[in-house]
Parts: sequence; C-alpha cells; structure tokens
Amino acid sequence: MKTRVLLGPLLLLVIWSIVATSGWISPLFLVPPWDVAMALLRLGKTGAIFLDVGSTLYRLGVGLTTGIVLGIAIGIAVGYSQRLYSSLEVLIDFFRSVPVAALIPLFLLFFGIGDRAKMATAGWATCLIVLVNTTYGVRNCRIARLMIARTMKANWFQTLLKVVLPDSMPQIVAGVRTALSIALIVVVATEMLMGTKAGLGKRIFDSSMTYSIGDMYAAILLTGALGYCMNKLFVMCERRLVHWSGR
Amino acid sequence: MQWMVKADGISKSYVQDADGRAAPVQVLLSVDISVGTGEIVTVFGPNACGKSTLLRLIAGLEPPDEGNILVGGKGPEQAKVGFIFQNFGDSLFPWRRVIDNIAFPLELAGIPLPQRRKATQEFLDTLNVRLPLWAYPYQLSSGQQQLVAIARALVFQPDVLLLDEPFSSLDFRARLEMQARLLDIWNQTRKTIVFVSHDLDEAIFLGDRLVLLSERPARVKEVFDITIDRPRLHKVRDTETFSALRTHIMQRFLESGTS
Repeated sequence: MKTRVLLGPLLLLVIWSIVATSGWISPLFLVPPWDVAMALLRLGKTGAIFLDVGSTLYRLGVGLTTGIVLGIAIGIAVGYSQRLYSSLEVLIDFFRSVPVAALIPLFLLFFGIGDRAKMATAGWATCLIVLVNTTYGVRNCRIARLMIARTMKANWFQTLLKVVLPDSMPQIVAGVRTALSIALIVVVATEMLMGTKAGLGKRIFDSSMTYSIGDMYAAILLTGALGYCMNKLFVMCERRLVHWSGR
Repeated sequence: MQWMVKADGISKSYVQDADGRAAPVQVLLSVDISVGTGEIVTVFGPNACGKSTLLRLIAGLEPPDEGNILVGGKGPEQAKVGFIFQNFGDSLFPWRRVIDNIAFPLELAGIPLPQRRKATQEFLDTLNVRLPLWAYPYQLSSGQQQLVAIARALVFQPDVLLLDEPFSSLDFRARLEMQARLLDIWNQTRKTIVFVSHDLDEAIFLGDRLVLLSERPARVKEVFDITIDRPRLHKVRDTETFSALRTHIMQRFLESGTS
C-alpha cells in the first residue's frame, strides 16, 4: 500500500530524467532532476531559499489570518441578518466573480509595493471564500438546535457562541481549507507581479528571467511541497476539529 | 384538577406562498386542550393534521392567531418548556460530549463546568439513567440519543415536557424500550407531559388521557380517559381494557367529520 503511493512520483522522476537527458528538449527549458537537487542544495547552503520560504510563509500567514477573522465575522453578520444578506448578496457575488489577479493593480495603488499589498491581496481572496462559507453555514444552522436554545432561554449571544458558530464550523473549516490553497496562489503571484526582495514567487520569476533553470525548478518544487504539506496538515487538524462532520 | 397547560380556542393558519398571495392554510381551528399538573396527555391524530403546530404553540415558539395559552399560569414565552424533537440527530449538539449536551441548560444559567458536570451526573443517577457520558452523540444508538435529549430537557427543570413523535424514527424494539423508560422517568419526576404520537398503541400505553384530533384543520374530536393502572408494563397491551379502548378510539378516528 505505502509503496504504491511512491510509484507515481517515481515514475515522473524516471520520465523526467529520460526526457531531460535525451536531448529532445533544450536544457534551457528542462534540466534533469539531479541538477534541480544540486540547485536546491546550493540555495540551501547560502540560506537564500530559507529566506524565500520564510517570506512567503509570513505573507501567507498574515494574509490568511486577517482574511479568516474578517471572513468569519462578516459571514456571521450576513448569515444572521436576512436584511444584510439581501442587501449584500449581489455585491458579494460580484466580488467573488472578479479574479483576484485583476485587482492586483488596485491593491498596489492602495497599499504600495511592500508586504502589505501582498498580504492584503491574499487576505481579500481568503476573506471572500471564508465569508461565503460562513454565511452558508450560519444560514443552514439546524432549526431544531436553534429552537432548543430558544426554549431554554439562551440569549442571542449564547445562541451565537454555543449553537450557531459550532454548527457552522464544518462549513467554515471547509472554506478555510479552500482558502489555504487560493491564498498560496495569490501570494506567489503577487511576489512575481509586484516585486519584492525575497519569496518563492520572486525566486521562480527571477530565475526564469535569468535562465537559472535549476533554481526555477527547485523553487517550483518547493512551492508545490509547501502547498501539499499545508493541505495535508490542515486535513489532519480538520478531522479533530470538526470530528462530527458528516455523521 | 390543577392545570399546568391550558389552551383555549387556539387557531393557527399558515401562508404557504412566500408572496402571501395563496390562501392561508388553516392548521388548527379553535382547539381546547388542558393538561393537569403531573399528567401525561397524548395527542393522536392523522399525519400532518397540526399536532406539531399545537406543540410549537404551547412551547411559545410561535404565537397562535387566536386563543389563549397558559403554561404554569404564565404565557408560553415566559414558561419553562422542555421540547423533544422527533429528529434527535438535528436537535443534539454533535460537537459536545453527552454529558455536556445534557448540561447545556446549566451552562446557559452560568454554572461553571465542574459543578454542572457533577450536577448532571447526580441528576442522571436520581433518574436511574445510565449513558456513556464521555462519548459523542453520534456514537450512541438512536434510543440512547433520544434519551440524551430527554435528559437535557429535564435538567432544565421545565414546567412541562413536550414530546413531538420522539420515538417514531426508532426501530420497534428501541421504541418499546424508550416508552418504558419514559414512564420510568415520569414515575421519578412526575413531570407534566404532552406527547404527540401517530401510533395509537403508544398514545394509549403512555397517556392518562388521549386527545384525538381531526383531519386538518385540526379540532379536538374527543378526549378519552385512559384508566389503566400504573405502573404500566408492555403486557397491558394484551388486556381487555386496552383493546376495547383501542377499538373505540379507532372507530372515532375513522369517522369523518367532528362531533
């Protein structure tokens, strides 16, 4: 079972090695895996790659956290109040349909070219996803549970904290899981497009511009691994956090 | 007799169309129902006749269009009502352990965690109810889950316990067990109980009186006294009194129109 999991990646490595050494593709576009490994080692030795990963993670962390907090807060308000929901529905659906990339110039304008713009863009994307999921979760709170709280004289704050919020938790957490991968995309993209000193997106962009193809593949692999691990880790936490989900 | 629940001439209709254009559907029409303190009254009638609506009105979850409801001398909004839904899966809190589900009303009252857990355990002991307190509701059998819901309602010390077809989604054996458990619990607590059922045998077995409702719009067709001695065991279902009562109520149930 365990060995079969490794079969796919192994196969890819073999094909990659064959293709890269066969001379079919110019080494300007594709280098063999061991070159990439060497590049990764070199970048690790100078510490440059750690700075890249750290910078990307930092932007991701701040953007995600802000987006999640705002998304849950607004989502609860919108989910709770029918009036707010009807007045904001079109607006939310509209902004959800605007690709974040299209808003990058706007964020540049408002937040400059520093870290804040990148965090804000990631936060925006996160917030919208979490907001929609939270709203959905709150609006679909089981009526029987609300009625139990009401017959037992819970005030609105107790109802929110002890019934509505935990009841929407599986939905909120699912939103956060989606936001995690979207936010990574956004951060890497802003690092490429807005410019910065360090970051995985910056590393990929610069090395492709200077034809340091080994570095480029190393950074791409690392970004992929980062996203993969984040998702795996989150799914593990999710199972504990919302253990009742789907039962 | 001292009345715990007294409803006089209550009517209720619903607008089914969201725009309010369709004619409203009359669900309850001038229903009178009285439940004495410590009495078990079962409400029996055709499916979808308005039995659940009646319970929701008594619980103060909705106001009646007409008529007056008193629970323990107060308006239903002020009274303490324990409500048991048919669908325990939707009414329990799956994110809480069984003990914290039951302690929920104590938590609302601001009692700290160790005290309320202790109080809950002691309360369950007095009821003679054994439950896996540290499990989560979804790990329990259907009957046990409904027992958790009942215990949670009782911890609240309600004036009246309202049960809306609580056992109808259980399998046959679990249903019989739970009916007996409920009578046990009633025997310990002497709570006033209104029990809605669509199972005639269940309604006779549990009740001191049985209220027969008509087709929608529901009116009270007749109220039957069930003079079977307590404590009741399931074998009373085989007695002459029980089957005579069942036959009689069945006849009235099948008659069209109201009295």
